[in-house]
Amino acid sequence: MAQDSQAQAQRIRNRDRGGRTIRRLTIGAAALAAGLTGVLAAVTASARTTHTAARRLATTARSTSTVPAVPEPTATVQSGSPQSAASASQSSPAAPQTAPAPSSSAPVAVSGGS
Amino acid sequence: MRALGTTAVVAVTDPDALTRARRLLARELRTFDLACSRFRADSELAAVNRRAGHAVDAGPLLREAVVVALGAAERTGGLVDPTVGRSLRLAGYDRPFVCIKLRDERLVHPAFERAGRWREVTVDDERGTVRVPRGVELDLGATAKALAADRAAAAVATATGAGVLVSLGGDVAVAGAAPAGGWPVGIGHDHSATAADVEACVTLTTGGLASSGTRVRRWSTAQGAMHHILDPRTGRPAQSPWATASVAAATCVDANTASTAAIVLGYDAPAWLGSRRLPARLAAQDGGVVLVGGWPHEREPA
Repeated sequence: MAQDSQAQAQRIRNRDRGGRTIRRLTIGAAALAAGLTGVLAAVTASARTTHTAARRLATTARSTSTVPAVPEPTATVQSGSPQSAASASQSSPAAPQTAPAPSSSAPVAVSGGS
Repeated sequence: MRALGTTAVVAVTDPDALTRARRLLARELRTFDLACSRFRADSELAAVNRRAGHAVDAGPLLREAVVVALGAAERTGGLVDPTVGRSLRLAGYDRPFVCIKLRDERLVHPAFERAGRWREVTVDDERGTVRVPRGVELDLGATAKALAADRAAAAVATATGAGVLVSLGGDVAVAGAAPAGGWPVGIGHDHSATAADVEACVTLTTGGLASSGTRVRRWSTAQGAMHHILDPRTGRPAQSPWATASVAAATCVDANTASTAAIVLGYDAPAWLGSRRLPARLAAQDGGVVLVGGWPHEREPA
């Protein structure tokens, strides 16, 4: 009888130990899963951000490629680009001997777009 | 009279010289049309464009016109570029303007191609040839009319001894002794404006005066409205704050070179013109006016 009781108690202890082990493993697995999920979410978000940034860069690159480069300044404009106010040279369009003066007469011809 | 796809005006200080002046001008314009028209199949320029990549026989007038156009490109750092011919054609300006007005705009699908190969064009005076590289087409529209005005005015003054004004589509050249007070020239967005419609009036005693604008010579396409002053850097119509740029210079060619460059330069135009002491009137798209380089303050036109 006493042996039976001891055996039963041992079985119960074993069962409880097994249950605790299973619980610990379950909690551990859940924690691991949660951790992995977080890591995965972070990796995914990071990848999406990288992808978006890459796409943005690609768009910029595409935009840049559609705007042709400004042609190089000619050799005759010696002091810089044609847009530079300091770049006037003798090879520029020449100024008139006398500037136009105001007039109130009826015009002989009209200068305008054509 | 009408010529080179626009109107021509000749005025002389001696009424007896007028008939001869008209005749000389008409002859000059016929010669120009045969040499420099992009749309005449029998013109020398059309032959040069057709045979791109080869040296093509060209008479002295076409050679001079090409040299002048290349000079304009050089003096503006390529802002006024005769190699925009292909860009203009692709943008829809592929026939005489009167024909453009008649076509169905929905069928016109423009493309845009930058120019800039003017350094590769060669003019050989010894052999009498002009050569453009493959893939390049010349358009002399920015300078040929002005050159014709300069040449015609000089020819009439020499032949008649009178003071003369020649205007080809608003590209004005004067030669000989001007009348007392100078030649009165109106300034407007359209050279065909009546005297009552001009925005300003100035007098001219020497050289030339030219205007370039984006409100005239426009056409519609499936992608919207286009105008004929292309930015060679993009092959697209120049996006300019100026509707019309009027410039006075030593010659009509120089004036037109500068006025075309001013449209392309946009906001940089006043500094560019001012540094070259070129009197200019820039009429903005929004109605404002900027006067540069000694252009006179305006009186109300008569």
